[in-house]
Amino acid sequence: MNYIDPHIHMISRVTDDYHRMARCGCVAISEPAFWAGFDRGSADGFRDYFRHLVEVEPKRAAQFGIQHYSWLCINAKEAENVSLSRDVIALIPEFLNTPGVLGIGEIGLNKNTPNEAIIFQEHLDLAMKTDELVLIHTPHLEDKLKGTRMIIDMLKNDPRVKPHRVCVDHVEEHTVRYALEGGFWCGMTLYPTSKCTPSRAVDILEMVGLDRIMANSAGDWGKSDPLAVPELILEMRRRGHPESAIKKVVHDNPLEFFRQSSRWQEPALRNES
Amino acid sequence: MTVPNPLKPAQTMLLLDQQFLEIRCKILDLAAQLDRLARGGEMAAMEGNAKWALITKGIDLLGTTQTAKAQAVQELFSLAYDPNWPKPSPRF
Repeated sequence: MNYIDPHIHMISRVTDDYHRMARCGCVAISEPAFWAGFDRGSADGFRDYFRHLVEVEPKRAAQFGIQHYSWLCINAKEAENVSLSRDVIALIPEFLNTPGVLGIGEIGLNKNTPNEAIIFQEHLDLAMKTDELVLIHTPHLEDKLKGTRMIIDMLKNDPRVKPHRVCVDHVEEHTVRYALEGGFWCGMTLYPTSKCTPSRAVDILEMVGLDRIMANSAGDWGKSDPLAVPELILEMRRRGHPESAIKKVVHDNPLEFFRQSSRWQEPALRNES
Repeated sequence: MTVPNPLKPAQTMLLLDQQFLEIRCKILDLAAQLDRLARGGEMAAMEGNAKWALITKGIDLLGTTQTAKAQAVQELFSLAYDPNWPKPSPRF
């Protein structure tokens, strides 16, 4: 089945992963800017990272017929450094008209600190001024419920925000309804230990339905599986859910969200016969 | 092409047959983890330990008749939210 992985950090993955993803039906991916595993020392480090996202990864993906899209920001973890964050936010506009850039992301909260909230709001200000889509990282583990609610408070507190142009990512059982009831899109991240397993993600789909929800691998340098979306497909089939429902979650929904970006280009569909 | 929404869950007895071994495996894993902790010889020190308190509350929760157990476990392991937290203001 053709699928889209709407959140994966291919900068941290080997070329073989692109190959395996293509063999499993991946036609497009989007790669949000994230924490590299260490705090970068200057805004120039981010400029180089953004060049990698918009220049290098699309070429690597294209070798396997996968269309590559990206999101730009300074991540929530490094947002604790407010002056560096402001320097990085100031350089984002020079990349915003690059083909393949879908919007601002993954912005969000990490430990739910005042500085993280300030920089989240400043990213939101930029996204609203430039009319960009927004992709949001919600915190890990014990911080997730509190942080998700704080993020939704900030989104609702800003009258410029159109919920259908925002995706709240990494939702789980205790946060998914806050995102959906706010009118936002949401993403479930399929991880082996933290976040959602494929089985629990299908449970969530059975509980909240199929509208405005997608699934991703968030594959990165940590313990993660770049083929997690195909695992979700298998789990849905195992439970007897129809192909139309599976396709909606892994292909049609991300397509519907991404199509709102002026820089989205349709991925070529592969013959599924 | 009609997409069913919401999805219809599989029948309970079918799921039980399909997942019996997986559930057994997970219960066994948890039992082994608790044994491992006990073999360390410091169970008396667990009294008042915040992590241990969460684990025991989580295990207790599984035995209740509560329907949304996964959500309840998630909420148990979550920090408290204050709706009056000081929000930054949008800059128009």
